[in-house]
Amino acid sequence: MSAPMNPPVTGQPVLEISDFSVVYRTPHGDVRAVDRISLALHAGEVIGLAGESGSGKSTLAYGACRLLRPPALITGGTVRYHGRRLAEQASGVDVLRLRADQLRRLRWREIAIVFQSAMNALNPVLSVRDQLTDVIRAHLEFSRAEADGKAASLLDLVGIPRARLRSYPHELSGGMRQRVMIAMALATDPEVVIMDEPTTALDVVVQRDILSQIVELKEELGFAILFITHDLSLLLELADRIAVMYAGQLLESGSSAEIQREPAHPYTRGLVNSFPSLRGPRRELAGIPGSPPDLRNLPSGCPFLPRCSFGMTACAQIDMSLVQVTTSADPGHVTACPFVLPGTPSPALPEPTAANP
Amino acid sequence: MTMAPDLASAAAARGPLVMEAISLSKDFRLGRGHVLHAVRDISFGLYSGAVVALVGESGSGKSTAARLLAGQERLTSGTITLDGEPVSVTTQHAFRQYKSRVQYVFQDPFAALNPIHTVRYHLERPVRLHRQGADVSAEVRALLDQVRLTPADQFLAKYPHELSGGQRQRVSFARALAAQPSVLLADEPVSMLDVSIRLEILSLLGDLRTRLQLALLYITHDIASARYFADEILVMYAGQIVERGPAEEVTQQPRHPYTQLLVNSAPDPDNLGSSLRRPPANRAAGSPPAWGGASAAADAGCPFSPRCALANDHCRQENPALTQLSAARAAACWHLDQSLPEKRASP
Repeated sequence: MSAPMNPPVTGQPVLEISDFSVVYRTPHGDVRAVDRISLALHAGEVIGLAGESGSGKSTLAYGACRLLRPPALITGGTVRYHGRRLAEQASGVDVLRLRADQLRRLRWREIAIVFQSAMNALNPVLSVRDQLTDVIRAHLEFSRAEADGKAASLLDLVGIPRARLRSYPHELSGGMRQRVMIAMALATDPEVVIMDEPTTALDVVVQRDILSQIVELKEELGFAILFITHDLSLLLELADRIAVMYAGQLLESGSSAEIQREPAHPYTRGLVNSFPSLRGPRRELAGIPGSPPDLRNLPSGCPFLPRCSFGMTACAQIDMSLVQVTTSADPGHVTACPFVLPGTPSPALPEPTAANP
Repeated sequence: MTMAPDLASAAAARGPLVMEAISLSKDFRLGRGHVLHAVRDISFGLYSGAVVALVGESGSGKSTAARLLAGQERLTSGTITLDGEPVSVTTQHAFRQYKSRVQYVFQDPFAALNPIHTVRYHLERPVRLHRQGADVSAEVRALLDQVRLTPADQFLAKYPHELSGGQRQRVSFARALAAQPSVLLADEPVSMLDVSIRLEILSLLGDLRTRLQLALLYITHDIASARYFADEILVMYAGQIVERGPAEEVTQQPRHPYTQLLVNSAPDPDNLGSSLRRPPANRAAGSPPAWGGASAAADAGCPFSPRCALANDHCRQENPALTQLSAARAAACWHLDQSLPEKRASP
């Protein structure tokens, strides 16, 4: 595999999340939605955050921007932002300690979010122009006319005809709505863009079109992307590095090339083997048996244990700290499973029909 | 558009013909004289024990086609036959009888189940309706067993919100199977589920198809899953079938430019030198027609011509018919001689 390696990432990350924890406070005790997660995003980089619904990936991203409301509660960790526009603060901005007015300047201007469902995130009774100028005027000191001009150029940027400025969300196709969402996120030239399943509801042709547009814009404007999705096949193609979450914990992270070549954690392996591929010979698809974990009552040790075909008794005692994958070409490739290394053959899986006749 | 009479279906090898769609069309009146041709003259067969996949983008008419088969929409023209008999569901009684043979599974397992009723209620009702005299409680347990929701007792008293997405979709399958249908129409049954769950649900569906000898119509926009799951693939664009054939052949050697676009758009985890990492100078083919999908396609000419790189005046004036390519393959394009798949640039 002679794939071009991504240029090594150097210097200070633009967004640095360390030991970050979020719980949902319920009458029956705390549900740990994000458990001591560290993640660094460098300028111009695409990090993919993979995991199934309920794994805590959106909670992590929204928590880092302090967008969560009670009963969600940040219980630990730090989030530091080092932007070009805030270069005078050498140690960066401690997002978790910002006052409301400081936070308001950080959000959207520095860190913007493309929300999951464009249909729900756009206001149905405002035209595209009004929604775009609203953002521009709220975060930049622009006059009405300047904002109108900026709104038009934003639509050019995402490839929507300017005539659509007067359209309302219901008059746009799903792909166009998503493009408007992206235009809105880019309105203030942010340095970090968080994309929460931006293309999940779209068909593949439109999805590819929008993704290549996002990548082009990233190259042009130089922002960093935190891309959240449950579709690992997409991340393997799109992201520079991938972090795999499960039950609020980080199970594996590393460069896309290494994760594709030799996924270390059994869960990642399961994910890599669970999507049908269009190209090459048909391969045996394994999938992941069992259902997603119930965060309200997690087993001790590894949360993936009940579904893991490698599982053993020692798994219930591990502390889920990340260890380096020594056989990997990427020194940053880490896994939370100390037992299963790349190359460990899979134990024979029980026939699903035999287990449950 | 008439199909070559000797075109064989790749699904026919699995079992006898159960349901046949012959030249189905469906128009929707949009007012002010505008008509949306949602489905235009499509023909195909569903065979016992076989999976036929209907693949296409949103607005291509694939769900409308399934709703026609399910008897939920009136045909504008065409005939549906079930076991060789033309179907006519004009009375309530006939419709109920038809429903006991042809069942529909919806895309969204979160919306398809009633939140105020238990799993038991969802399954008892169709058993009582469609199978008078059956031992309801035993049948419900057998159904849960069939979709691998075991032990059954644990699930009977649960409400939909207590189940995961995959479990909900299993309940939807069980409900559809309660009528003991011979045809199952599954409209994007896994697209709302997590990737890690999809495979299990699809293999369950494949397993049920084999054991119960169901004739299965699998509707999806994910052509990669159709490659693994279906016997025959029908690719729809703007209400027409533009290409059809054995699943492996259609995905590996797509002949219609639209099928090629679909195949090239699917995420490719092996493509590490992807254009998504290194944006190309020129962008791939454009987005679908902006308004209303199918309706934006011209009435005359090939509906794909506005987006097609090969389109010429001939394409814009005359709509190509399905041309037979081999025993079980056909495609509708004027440029079949030159639309061979281009090699992907290797990294």
